[in-house]
Amino acid sequence: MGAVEGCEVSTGLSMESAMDLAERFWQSMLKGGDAGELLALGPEIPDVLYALTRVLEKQRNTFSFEALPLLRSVHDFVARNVELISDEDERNVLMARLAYRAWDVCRREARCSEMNVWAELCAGYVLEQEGVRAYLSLKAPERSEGLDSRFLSDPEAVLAACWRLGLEKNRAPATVGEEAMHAYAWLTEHPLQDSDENAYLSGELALTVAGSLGHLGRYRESGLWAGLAENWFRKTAMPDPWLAKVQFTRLVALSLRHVPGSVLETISPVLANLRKFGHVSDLGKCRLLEALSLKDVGRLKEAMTLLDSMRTDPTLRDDPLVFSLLLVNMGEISAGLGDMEEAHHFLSQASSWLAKADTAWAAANLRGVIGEILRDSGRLAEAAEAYGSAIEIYSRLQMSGYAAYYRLLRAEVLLLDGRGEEASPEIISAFPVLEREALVPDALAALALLRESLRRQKADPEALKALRLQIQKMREVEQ
Amino acid sequence: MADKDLAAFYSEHYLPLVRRATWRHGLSKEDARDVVQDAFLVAIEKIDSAGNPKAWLIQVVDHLSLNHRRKLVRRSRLTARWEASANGQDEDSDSRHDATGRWTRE
Repeated sequence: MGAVEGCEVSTGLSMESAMDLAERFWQSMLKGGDAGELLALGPEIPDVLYALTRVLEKQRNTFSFEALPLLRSVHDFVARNVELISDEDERNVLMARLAYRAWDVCRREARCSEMNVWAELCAGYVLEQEGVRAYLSLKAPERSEGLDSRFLSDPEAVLAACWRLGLEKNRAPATVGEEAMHAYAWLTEHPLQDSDENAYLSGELALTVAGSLGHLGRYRESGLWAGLAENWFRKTAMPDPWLAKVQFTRLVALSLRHVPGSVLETISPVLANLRKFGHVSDLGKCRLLEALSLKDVGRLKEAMTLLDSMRTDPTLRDDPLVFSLLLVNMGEISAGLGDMEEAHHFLSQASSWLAKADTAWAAANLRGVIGEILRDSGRLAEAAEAYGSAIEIYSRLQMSGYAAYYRLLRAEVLLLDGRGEEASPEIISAFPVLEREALVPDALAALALLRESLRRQKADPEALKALRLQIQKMREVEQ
Repeated sequence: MADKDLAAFYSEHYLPLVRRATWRHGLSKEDARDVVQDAFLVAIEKIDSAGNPKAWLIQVVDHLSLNHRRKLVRRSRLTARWEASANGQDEDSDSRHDATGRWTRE
């Protein structure tokens, strides 16, 4: 204790002085000044930068996109001169705040691509702060109120959460869904001061939940969350760009439900809006959905032409997941057109892109496609194996709808291969999930027939096929 | 941690922590200084058992700041209530008037 008492340290700037200096600094920047003027502030730089973010926060409604380069120059200046703020954690806090303000300017003017750059930067700084990683490594139910208030009270932390969850959503939909719901609940109980920022970030989190639930096959809940996201986005000053993202999430859910006809009927305005508002990454994914749906309705050549044109799009290559899915589909179509050599070529390429994407469900999707190709070429044992590994991955990811569907496919292949005793457990495992899917009467009848054949110790391949077709049909009818 | 090391640790982290408590947790500079002093007093007792002393200290400052802010909010609510009752405006009386008004109209 004596050691601490004996220390003499500077007490820093008062808040009023810091705010005054920050306002003067910003005025000077607006009149053509240079970020290097910060140097004159010496040890007071951190206080003035904190105050600057407060000044910009106050001016958020009048701070126009034209002034963004000034903010960028302050950010870049501090990033280049790290010694100005010797405490690394403090530097990350300040840089996150600056990046957040820049992101917010872009958001208010719907400059989507710039917005993404700043969101990524902001998230990077937040994730580098002390304790944040430890907090994030906890599962949502393990996060106490105290921890939440420590890590989620800042808007930049909420933005970082949105960004990270958006990135992770394809990799681990169940965990991301839970985390996004948790953060959403926090934000609902502790809204941000600025209602526009609050509405946007709440909408983003709700949309992330919707996307994750869609991947998990929980389509009704996904639809409800998409509705919530829409309501939040409508409360923002400029809702249209964000409503385009809701439209896209709904389209993805349609595609996941295997209703290609409906996807093709509704895709045009979604594509147009994504293009109009500059959602480049979603636009690539949306075009992929279009190709996938064309393939699923049997318009293979059109699908192949579209995919081939997308293969040269540099923005798609930035996203290994989208690019690997593109190649998987090209492989599947080539196989459908009878060109097995080409199919093999595309699928091997897809496999190496998938390794970069590190997304388990996409790997399961690839195994499923390989299973179908092997089945169609009569290699039943290998097909059963490929389906088996798809089921294993989907089950691990809690994507039970997909796992059940592939169990039926695997059971069909096993029956064709004369391995009826292995087929029965697959079908039995799929029953609870299929029942939960609220089947229509025809599908229920098919399910009952299959159950009856199993009771007689002999799974009926025709009953199995009928059930699978009914499930596909049911998804169409639900639309 | 030896006294000398603790002193160095204190001078290195004192100001950033005061700024953190001020700008992130919305405390006045004076309150922020008190909070950081309190955090160091806790540190003298417990910092040796912390795996990462800096992360640990930040956590203590965050918790103390959040508690302090909650205390301020509670205090200001209480003061507002006292002021309201001193001015003859019972907080509940408005709602009672509304309720009575509605009842009378019905």
